[in-house]
Amino acid sequence: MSPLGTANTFKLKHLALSAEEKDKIRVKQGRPLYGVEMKIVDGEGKPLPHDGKAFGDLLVRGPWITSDYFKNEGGTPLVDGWFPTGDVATIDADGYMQITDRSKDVIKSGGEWISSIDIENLAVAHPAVMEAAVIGVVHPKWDERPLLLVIKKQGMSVTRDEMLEFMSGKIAKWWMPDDVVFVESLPHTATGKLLKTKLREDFRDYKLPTA
Amino acid sequence: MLGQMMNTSLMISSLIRHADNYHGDTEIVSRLPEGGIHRYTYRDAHRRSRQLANLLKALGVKMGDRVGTLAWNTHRHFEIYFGVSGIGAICHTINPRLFPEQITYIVNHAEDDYIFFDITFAKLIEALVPHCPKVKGWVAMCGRDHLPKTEGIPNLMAYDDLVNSHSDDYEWPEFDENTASSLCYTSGTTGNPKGVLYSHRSTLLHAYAAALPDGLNLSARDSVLPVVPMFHVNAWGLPYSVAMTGAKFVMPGAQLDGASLYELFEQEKVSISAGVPTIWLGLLQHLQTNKLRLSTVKRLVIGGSAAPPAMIRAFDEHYGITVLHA
Repeated sequence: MSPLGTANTFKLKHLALSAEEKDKIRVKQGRPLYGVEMKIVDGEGKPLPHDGKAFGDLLVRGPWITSDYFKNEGGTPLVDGWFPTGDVATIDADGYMQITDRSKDVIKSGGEWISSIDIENLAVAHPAVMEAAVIGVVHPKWDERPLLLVIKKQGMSVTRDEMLEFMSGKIAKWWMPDDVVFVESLPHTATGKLLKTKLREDFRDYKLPTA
Repeated sequence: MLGQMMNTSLMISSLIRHADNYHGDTEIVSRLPEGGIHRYTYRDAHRRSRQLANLLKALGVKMGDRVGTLAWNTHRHFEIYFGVSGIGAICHTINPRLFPEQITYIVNHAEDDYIFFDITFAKLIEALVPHCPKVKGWVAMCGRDHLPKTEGIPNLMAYDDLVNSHSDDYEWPEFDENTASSLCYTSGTTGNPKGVLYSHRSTLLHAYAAALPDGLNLSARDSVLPVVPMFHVNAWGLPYSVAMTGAKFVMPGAQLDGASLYELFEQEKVSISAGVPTIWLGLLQHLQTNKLRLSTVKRLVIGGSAAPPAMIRAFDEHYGITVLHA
């Protein structure tokens, strides 16, 4: 989703909320600006409820959303007049959208979807963590399991077990990474996003301790 | 029954003309790739955009032709945004962080007639030249003094000297607002990059929406610094929105590290900035390590990917800065 399909500002009714409740809204990508319409759909293209819980592929339409690529390369990207963003997201009853993953980065474990972004956000909350990435690594029983990659802040230290201990209880147990690897750097795309295709390639043969 | 209001086309050139007319003395500040800080006004930028329009005409650039840029956020890139789209040609911004093979593909696929580039990319341009035979000329975005010393770039021209040699006597044409205005290729992780083609209409509507209070809330009292590059999705349309609102515009050039950004934020009293989370992590670390405060920044806008909540809280609690997703 390109910037300024949404912006995250409060509504009048949110102003009286506690700091904690406001935080829960602030981490989302925000409400559509006038001109942009949004929906989320499941694997079959069926619309999902805007309840802040159901997550599915995000589609958008509006007068500053692309309808075709230059020279019609690759055919029309539209699905029934909607542009598939390639993001997986929730939308709540107030219209606040939250990206939970890129469609191709979501970790499919035992038939369920795990949001890599949620785990990354939790890892970065650790004071010794500079940047984190979570990718799915092949697992014989669960198809994929999350692997956490961490860059430590300069002069700070944290161990694998301390990292997992820090995260424990803050996300669903089955979302907990099966292992932690400390790295010197993480690859980014030309636009500054984590380059997870490269990471998945680099860790293709990584053997999880649980495998 | 039709309404009886004027059917004025939504033209990108009308933005810079508005900024000149009503915010003519508002500053545009750039950190230059060749070193130093450049400072002028919307009136100057509009004059140079018109000179550029005359230059493009002299070079034979017509409606619908593509003009490529490989450039940082600077006043010259800003002039190209308005000058190229203003004459009805297409401003094709190219992401220099792509692989050279991808850039070659993009230049050839777009059929760019001219490429305007910052001198930091001279080596990259030398590598492109043999593979892009249809490009008619390569324009280094600098004065003659800073032209790259190379034999490897044919028809190499110096932007400042070319622009200065043309008259500023130019009336922007009005044409169909659905005309293509700019082109940006997506840096997909698989397959060839694909071009997204913006129109004058889509650009103007987006600029209005972005400026709304529940959008970026931009006004003539703001000083805006886009870290988001003008070589990618038009820097979220910020060059257009600031011209629409008359906000001061501060462009960081090639130096996007925490220390360089901090210096510009303080010197130019920046009130709002926009970038990807990685940039703000770098800035946060610079502030923490050196025990610094930001005295004028009120909002940092995040796009492209989600910001870690811990970072949002750190800026809010320790620095009183709102980190806003958009």
